[in-house]
Amino acid sequence: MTNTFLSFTVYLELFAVNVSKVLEVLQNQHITQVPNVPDHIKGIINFRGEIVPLFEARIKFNLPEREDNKYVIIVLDLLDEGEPFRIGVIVDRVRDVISIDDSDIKPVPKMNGNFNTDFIKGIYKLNEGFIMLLDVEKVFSDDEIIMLKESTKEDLLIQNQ
Amino acid sequence: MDNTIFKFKKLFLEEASRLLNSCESDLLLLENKPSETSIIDSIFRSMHTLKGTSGMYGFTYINELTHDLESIFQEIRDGRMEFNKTLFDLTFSSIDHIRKLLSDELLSNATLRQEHNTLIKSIQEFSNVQPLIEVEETQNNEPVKNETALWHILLNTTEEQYFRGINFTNLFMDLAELGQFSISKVEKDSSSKTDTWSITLRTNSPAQEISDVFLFVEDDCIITQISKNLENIPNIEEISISDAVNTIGNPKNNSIPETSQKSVRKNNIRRITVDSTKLDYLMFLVSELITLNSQFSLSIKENNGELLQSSSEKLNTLSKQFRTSALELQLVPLNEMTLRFQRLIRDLSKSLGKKIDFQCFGTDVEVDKSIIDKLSDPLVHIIRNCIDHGIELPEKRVKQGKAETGVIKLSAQNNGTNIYIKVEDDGNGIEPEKIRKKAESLGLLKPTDILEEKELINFIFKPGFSTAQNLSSISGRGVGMDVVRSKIHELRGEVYIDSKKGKGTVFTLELQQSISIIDTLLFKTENTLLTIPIANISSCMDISDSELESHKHTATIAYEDSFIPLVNTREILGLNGCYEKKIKLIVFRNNESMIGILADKIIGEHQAVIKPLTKTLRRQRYLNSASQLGDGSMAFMLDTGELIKGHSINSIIS
Repeated sequence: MTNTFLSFTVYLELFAVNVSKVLEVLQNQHITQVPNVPDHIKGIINFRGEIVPLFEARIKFNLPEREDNKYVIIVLDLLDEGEPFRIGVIVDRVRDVISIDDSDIKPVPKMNGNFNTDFIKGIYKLNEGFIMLLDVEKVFSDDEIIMLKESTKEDLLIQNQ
Repeated sequence: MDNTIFKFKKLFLEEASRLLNSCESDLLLLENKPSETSIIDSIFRSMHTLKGTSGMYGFTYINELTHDLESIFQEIRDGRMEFNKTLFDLTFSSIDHIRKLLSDELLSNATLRQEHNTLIKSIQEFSNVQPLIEVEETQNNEPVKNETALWHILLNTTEEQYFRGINFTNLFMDLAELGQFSISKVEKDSSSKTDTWSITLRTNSPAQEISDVFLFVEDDCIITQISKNLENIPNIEEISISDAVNTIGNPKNNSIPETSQKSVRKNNIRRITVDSTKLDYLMFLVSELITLNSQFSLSIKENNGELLQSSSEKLNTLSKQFRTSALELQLVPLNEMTLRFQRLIRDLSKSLGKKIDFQCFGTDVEVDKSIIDKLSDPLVHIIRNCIDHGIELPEKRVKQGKAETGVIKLSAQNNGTNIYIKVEDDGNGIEPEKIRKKAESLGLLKPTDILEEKELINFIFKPGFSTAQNLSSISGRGVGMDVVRSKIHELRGEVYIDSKKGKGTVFTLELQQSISIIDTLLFKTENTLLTIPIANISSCMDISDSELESHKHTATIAYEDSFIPLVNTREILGLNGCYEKKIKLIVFRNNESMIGILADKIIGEHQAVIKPLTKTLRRQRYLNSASQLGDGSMAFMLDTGELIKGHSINSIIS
């Protein structure tokens, strides 16, 4: 079966989410900061009359912090234990909508070390590199910072060669 | 198509819970007047409809259960069986069971499946055992045997019947039990939307039984007797039921896709009845809005500042009218809940051997439906407490010189802005000494602490606090009153308790009529915009930083005749910076407590359209919702209940 994914970049990494989860991609939003929250929650926006918290993907994935003001917000519709919830993810750039056949999705290789690979559903190989297909429900239902280090990528390369 | 079926299934679920509710209230009535045949008929009809529709929508287990129950009720209607206690309990538990089946129609839960089988078995046992005794009686006074007669029935079948879930298979099965029948289609011109069928029936059953078969299509059929007392009525060629059904074209049972079931699980109010005058008024406002809209376009086109100004003012008034009118639509009378409580009290008092009279006063008070949905659990908790801890056993009551039957009174009152719901019992009351003992054993209180009775009683709202001597299944597990309080706080309400030892206990819930739009005061600390309900603000004033400094160690300030706790918004929200020379102090008051909130700047009134904070932000202790301002930024509403809890004088001292 073929699924359609929306790919985007965060720092130098390439990720993708299933388009069925994506509601809208927003720019230039008035973000209200919220006191007393973890660093990766940048604030809230009013999206179609509902309060949507914004996750900064760079902090969530433990990548270098954003220096400029160039970002877009991907609004996702997620389910947590059957309860729907909506979040916005701040990413660098939206790249592409791609169709990926299930058979082309490679399993996540076992990492050495303590890296959390639960949040990746699979890997898809592109000409210029890999796209990590995110399990967004897992990524955004807790406050943990996900360790995504260079070695992760190296492991992926080795595994998929 | 899937969507259509889903829609009808939702309709069925609504219809089914409505039927179950009416069954339940009928049963409660019947328990007091067991001989009232009209009530039995009404229950029978509900069961019959439920049987038909559940079969139609593929709820086979409900169909099975209601079929068995219906047969029992049929026997009762025919006078072959009598209502007794066992049957009451059986019917009540069946109703509860069907409610569960509505959300788990396939019995995927193993314990539910077990329950189902036991229930079916006990119903069948009941109907098998009972008639044996009763049948003999009926044989003694054999009813007058009706003579065979020939009947003619004209039946119209419409699409609407399909949507109502009329199952013709059942209808013809019932008809076949009465006697032989034949069916043929009446030819009409093709433009007609309905089909008409002519049915000839040869039976010795009375007219009543025939019309019962057609009960649910009675508006669409005409039953006439064509011949009577004829010995030699020609035999009607027998036709099988399936032929009859095929002739009419029975709609197939359609299965519903699994995924669409999730959203219908919650038992909240989904449909409300609205007074048509309210709707008329709303329509009037809509027409005003349309006029205003064209006025706006005109004034912008002509660049007419004066006209724009006046239209803008009109819009202001109009949106306020809209707000009031729309809020009124949301209001539902409290009555919708009382049935549940009646049932609860009946069941619990029986199992505990207590006698309780449940009285309702003023329950026609209207409350926002979103509040009603969330109010039911806390009220159930409170009523359980009254039954379990409050009302004493009959013997004990008599000994104390009270009436044998205890009274639980539910009353509601609306004072314009707030709604007060009271639950009173005339039972044992709360014994402050017991609370004290318990609190000391939990380490919440030192033996040396001196507390007033009222303060002691309030300990029951502490988590894990219960003085019930033996834990029953009803209450006394230490969860309950603290849950009640937090649920009521979620609704921005408050719960109070008053109790006299030996006389009884009164729980008072104070609630706002609506929680979706609130008039608030908007203020600011650093860059964070905050709001609190304006109705409870007692005053706003400036204080100087030196004044604050002098009170720093106590975190209180003198106001009127007392000291009130100060809430430092910087501190509780973890904001940077410090206050300027002039600090704003907002004094907030609810029934019993006052707090002073410190802020940088007061902006003004703000009509807050409340949006709940999402799951991700729910850990915020002092913020409970947000609302949008004209410029797109959001203001947070402070949870005043939490603020008072976290800043009471007691907590400061300790």
